[in-house]
Amino acid sequence: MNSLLLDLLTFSSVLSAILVITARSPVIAVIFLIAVFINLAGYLILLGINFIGLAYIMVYIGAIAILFLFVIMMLNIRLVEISEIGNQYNKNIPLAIIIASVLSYLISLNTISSKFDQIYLITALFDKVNFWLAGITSSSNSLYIGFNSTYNNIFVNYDEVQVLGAMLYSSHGLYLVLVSFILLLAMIGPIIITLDKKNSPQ
Amino acid sequence: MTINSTINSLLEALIVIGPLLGSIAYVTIAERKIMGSMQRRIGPNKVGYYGLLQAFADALKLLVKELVLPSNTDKILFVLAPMISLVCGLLVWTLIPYGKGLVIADFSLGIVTILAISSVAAYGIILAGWASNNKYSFIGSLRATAQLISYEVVFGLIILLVIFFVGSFNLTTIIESQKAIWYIVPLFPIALMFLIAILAESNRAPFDLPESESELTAGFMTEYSAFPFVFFFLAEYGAIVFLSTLSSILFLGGYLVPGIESNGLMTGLSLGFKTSFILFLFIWIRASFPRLRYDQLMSSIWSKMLPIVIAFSILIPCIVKAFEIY
Repeated sequence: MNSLLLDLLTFSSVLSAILVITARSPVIAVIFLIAVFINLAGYLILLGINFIGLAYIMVYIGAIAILFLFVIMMLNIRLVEISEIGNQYNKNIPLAIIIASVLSYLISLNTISSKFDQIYLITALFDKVNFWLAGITSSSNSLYIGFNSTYNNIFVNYDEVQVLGAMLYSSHGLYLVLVSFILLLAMIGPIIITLDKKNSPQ
Repeated sequence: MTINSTINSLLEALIVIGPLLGSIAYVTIAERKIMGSMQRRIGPNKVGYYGLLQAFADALKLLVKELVLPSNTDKILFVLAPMISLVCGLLVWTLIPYGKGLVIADFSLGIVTILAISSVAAYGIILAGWASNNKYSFIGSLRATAQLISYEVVFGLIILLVIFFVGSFNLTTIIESQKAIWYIVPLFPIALMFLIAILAESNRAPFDLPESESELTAGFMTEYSAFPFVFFFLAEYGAIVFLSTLSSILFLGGYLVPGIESNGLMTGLSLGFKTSFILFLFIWIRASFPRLRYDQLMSSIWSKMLPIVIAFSILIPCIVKAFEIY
C-alpha cells in the first residue's frame, strides 16, 4: 500500500514539475510548483521522515511559494510577451539536450559505480576539523544510527527532532556553521546588488 | 487497510465534523446575540426560541441560492480555493485532544503539523482573490495574505515559547505538563499577545481589513455565492473556534480541571468552557474596538510585537535553563 502511494506521489510530482514549465500563465506555473512541494512533502512523510516533510510544507509552501505567488500576481505580465520571449529560447534545444544527457550520465556514473568517494573524502575532512575544534569524534553514518530506530529504541525512544538536534549541534556542528555562512551570503547579496551608491542620500 | 478500519476512520471524521459544524452555527448566533445586547438591540429572535435556529435558516437560504460563476474567471481555481480553505480548516481538528487519550491522531509533532496545515490554508484566500478577476477581491486577498504571513511569525514564536516549557511538540504532553500551573500565569503578557495574534490570524475585528466592508465590499469573498460562500464562511468560523481551542490548550490547561483529577465528560466540558470564554473575548473585542488602518496593522506587528516576542524568546530559555526545569 505504502509503496504504491510512494509511486503515485513520485509520478504526480514529476507530472506537476513538467507542468510548471509548460504552463502558459505564470500564476498557474507557481501553483504547479506548490503541487510539486506538496507531493515531495507527502513523500517524505510517508517514508517516515516526518519532521523534514513538515518543515518542507512550512518553509517552502508556507513562506517561499506564497511570496512567489504574491509577487507574480502583482506583476502586470502580458502572456503574449512571455510566449514571444519563450520562442527565442527554442533555438537552444540541442544545447539543452546535450547538457541534460551529460548531467544525467555523470549522476548515474557517481551513484552506481563509485561509492561517493569524493563526498566521503569531504566528510572525513570535516570530521577531522571537528575533532580539532570540539574534541568530538563522529563516524559519518552516525545520523543513520540516530534515525535507525531498531538500533536504540530498546532503551530510549527519541523524537526525530531530538535526534536531528543532537546531531546538528554536536558532531555535525561545523556543517551548521557553514550553512549559516551560506544564509548570511544570501542575505547580504541582495543588499549589495540593490545598493545604489550614486543616488543614496549620503 | 481493512473495511473495519475504513469504517472506523469515517466514524471518527463524522464524530468530529458534526459537532464542529454545530458549534460554528452557534458561534454565529452567539456573536449576533452578544453584539446585539452590547449595542442595546435584541438581535435575532424570530426563528426558534430566542432565535436559536437562526443559523440553520441562514444556511438553508444560502444552500438553495443560485451558484454564480462569474465570466472571465479561472473556473477550476475559483471552486478549488474555498475547498482548500475548508479542508485545511477541518484537518487541524484531528490533532486536538478533547480528553485523556481522546484524540484522533496522537502525533509526536502535533503542533508542527498544525502550523504546517494552517500555512497551507492561506492559499485558499490568495487563490480566491486572484481567480475572482475582481479588483476588490484581489486587494482583499493580498491584504489577507500579507497579514497572515506577518502574524504567523509571532504566532509561531509564541508557540515556540510554550514548547520551551514543555520540551515536546505533542499536544497531549503540553496539556499534561500544565497540571502544576496553567501557562497563562508565568506567560501572562505572552498570552495577551497570542490573543492579538489569533485575532489577526483569523481576520477578525479590529484586524478585519481583508473584508473591510466600507472599502472592499466583502474582500476576497465578493464574487462568491451559494456553496463556495458557505465553504468560506465555515472555514472562517471554524478557524476562529480552532484558534480559541488552541489557545485554551496552550495557555489555559486544555481539558484539565484545576484541583480535580478529572476524567470522561468533565474533561470535554472543561475544554468547551475555556474555548467558549475565549470565543466570548473574540466577540467582545469585535463589539468594542474600531478597525485599525493598514499601516498601523503592519507597524504594530513588525516594529512592536515582534521585538517583544524575540526578547522573550531569549529571556525564557535562559530562565528555564537556569532552573533546569526540563
